[in-house]
Order: sequence, then structure tokens, then C-alpha cells
Amino acid sequence: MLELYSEQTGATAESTAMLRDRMRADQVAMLVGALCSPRTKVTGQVFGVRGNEVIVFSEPLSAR
Amino acid sequence: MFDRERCDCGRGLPADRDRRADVVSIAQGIYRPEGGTGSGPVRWTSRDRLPGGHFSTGSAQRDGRGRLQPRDRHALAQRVKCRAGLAPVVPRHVFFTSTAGSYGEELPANYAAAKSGVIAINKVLTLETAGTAIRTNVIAPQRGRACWNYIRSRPGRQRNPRQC
Repeated sequence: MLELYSEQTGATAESTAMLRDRMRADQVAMLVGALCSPRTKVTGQVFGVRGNEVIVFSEPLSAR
Repeated sequence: MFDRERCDCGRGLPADRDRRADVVSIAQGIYRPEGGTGSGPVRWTSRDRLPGGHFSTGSAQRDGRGRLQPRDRHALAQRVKCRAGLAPVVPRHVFFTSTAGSYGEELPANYAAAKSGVIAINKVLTLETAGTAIRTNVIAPQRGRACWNYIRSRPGRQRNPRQC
């Protein structure tokens, strides 16, 4: 899929290698294992994983 | 190994002799799937699921002696316990979407619409399964091209300087 993305967007080999480093399967698998743990209580959330960073998208914030 | 027809949902009970053989291999810390010999990554099949999960994992690492890593060995033992009825089945739903569906990216609109639907399904399932042990979450792997400066950092925590 990364190769297809690089062809469509004209990305360089360096940027493709950066993408591959930031979207490794083991980095996502860590969060998947945590969410599937019998002791987890998190539900209904949207998480983003970029490299070793985990972000919660679906956390409402009152702006005013 | 387990009967595919009875155990595809993760709740079927395997035959006694198969269950006993698998538990013994777990106790020894050695797991050799069908056709797998020697060292190297172990490819778990689609019927080998994490404890209570409704998805299959990718691969587990073994050392040169064919022993699984402790974390993988624990996950496999929990899976066998769930199959054997020795541990409760804890349902988990983990959906995968994209940042194109969460806040938009330079990708085709139909792709973004489909990925947004995954998030909507997660919201509905969360409401439908409220009050139960079922957990539903969504993961969106990032490629890190969009600007993430608007993301707030938790108090007391510093973001990874390598990112963004």
C-alpha cells in the first residue's frame, strides 16, 4: 500500500522510508494488545498511532 | 489442533485430547503451529485469536530454541484457557480506520467516507454495548505528514521531538 501511495503522490524514496518507519506493525500491535487486554476499560475511543506516539482523537474539549 | 468449524468464533470447545496437548505445549513454553519448525517468526493462523478478541494477530517472535517471548506465551495461554472454558471470554472490538476519515487528508473522497463510516460504527456499537463488558475502539495509524501542532500535550508530558 505504501508503494501505491508513493506512486500516486510522487513521494521520494526517503519520504517513503520515513513512512515505513512511522507505520510499523509492531508499533500498532502494542496498542491493539492493550485494548484487547481483559482488564481494559476503554471503549468508544478513536486512537491515532504515529511511531511510538499514541493520540486520543475522540476526547471532547469544551472550547469556551 | 482445534476444530476450525467449531472454534472459528473463539467460543467453541476443542476436543479433550487436542486441548490437553496444546496446554502441555504451553506449559513447556514451546508452541509449534502446523507446518512451523525451527526458529523465526511464528505466523498465527486466523483461528488463533488473542484472549477474547475478535481478530487475529500478526506474528509472534521465538528465540533460537523455539521458545515464545513471555508476553506471547501469556497471550497464547490465555487464549487456550478461553477456548477450554477456564477463563471468561471478554469481547473486544478493534476497528482500523485512517486519518483521512478522522480529520481529512489528500486522499480520494470515497476512501475518506468509508473510513469515517468505521468511526460511526464504533460510536453506535459503543452505545449498543453500554453497560456490558464489550469494548469497542478504533485505531488510526498515522503517516505523519499532516501538521499536528494543534494536538494538546498532557500536562507534565512532553511530546516526542522526533515527531512533526
